[in-house]
Amino acid sequence: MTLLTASEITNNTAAQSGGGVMCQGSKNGGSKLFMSAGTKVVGNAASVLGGGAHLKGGCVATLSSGVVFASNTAGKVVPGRHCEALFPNLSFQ
Amino acid sequence: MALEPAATRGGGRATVLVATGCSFTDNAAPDGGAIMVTAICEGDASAECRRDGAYVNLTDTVVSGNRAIGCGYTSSSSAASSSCKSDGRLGSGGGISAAAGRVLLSDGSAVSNNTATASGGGVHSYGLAYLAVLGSRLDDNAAGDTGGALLNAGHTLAISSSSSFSRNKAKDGRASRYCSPRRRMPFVYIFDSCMNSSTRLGRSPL
Repeated sequence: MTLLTASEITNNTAAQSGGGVMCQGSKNGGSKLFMSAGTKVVGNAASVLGGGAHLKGGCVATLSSGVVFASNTAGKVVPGRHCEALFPNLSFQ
Repeated sequence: MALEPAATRGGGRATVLVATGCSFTDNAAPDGGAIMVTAICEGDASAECRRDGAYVNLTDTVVSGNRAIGCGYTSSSSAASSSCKSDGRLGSGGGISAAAGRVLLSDGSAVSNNTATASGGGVHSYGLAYLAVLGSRLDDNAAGDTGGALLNAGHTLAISSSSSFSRNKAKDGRASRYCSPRRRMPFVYIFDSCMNSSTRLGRSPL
């Protein structure tokens, strides 16, 4: 369990995912992430997914009133769409 | 913020985001400027896994001023640049993009002033995603292609409980657009909601 209260996570970078925060769960017991009022995740960057935070594998994140995610950036693009009418040149995944 | 669905078969737990009274502002990504739910569970690409492994529940939460900028992103990531070259349609879901899982906007949540270079200025729901908008509003979003407020190409879309769509803009003039994989109609439910003052220069599906 991770608890962040009135904290600031700012200007971090990740070469892969989760510039500010990475929360990795597991099959038998998901990790729990709590962010409470006053916590700010600002200006972080990831080259793949989740500039501010990346949640995966059964992570359960609970953000309470006043948590701010701002000015984070991520770089991953996911090719493939699921609407033939709009994207006729792409196949279904 | 990105969520990867978890493999829930065999007792595994879904990846979950619950936000109440929070804000996601001025974030940027190629798809899903603020929040993105990816399509495939780690280590399990089955349809069941993709559908059930992620939940996003935003209550009284603001998603504002975010951008899905597609290939306009200047990241040094080689993965991003190579994918961009093969897909000129990226840049969807200015606020939220969901390829799987269940996304719920409820109880006063607002998706406003987000932009997408392609489709779904506010929200882009596609693949096996379920999207519900309950008592929330999508205002002043803009898309460079279609669906100023939202583009639903996902499994199910439900809009209810006095939700409103206002002043959204899209290049093709549709405030919202609904389409479906393999030309099947998606499940779209709209109750007790209104869409007004959105720019709809073309034929509206509603």
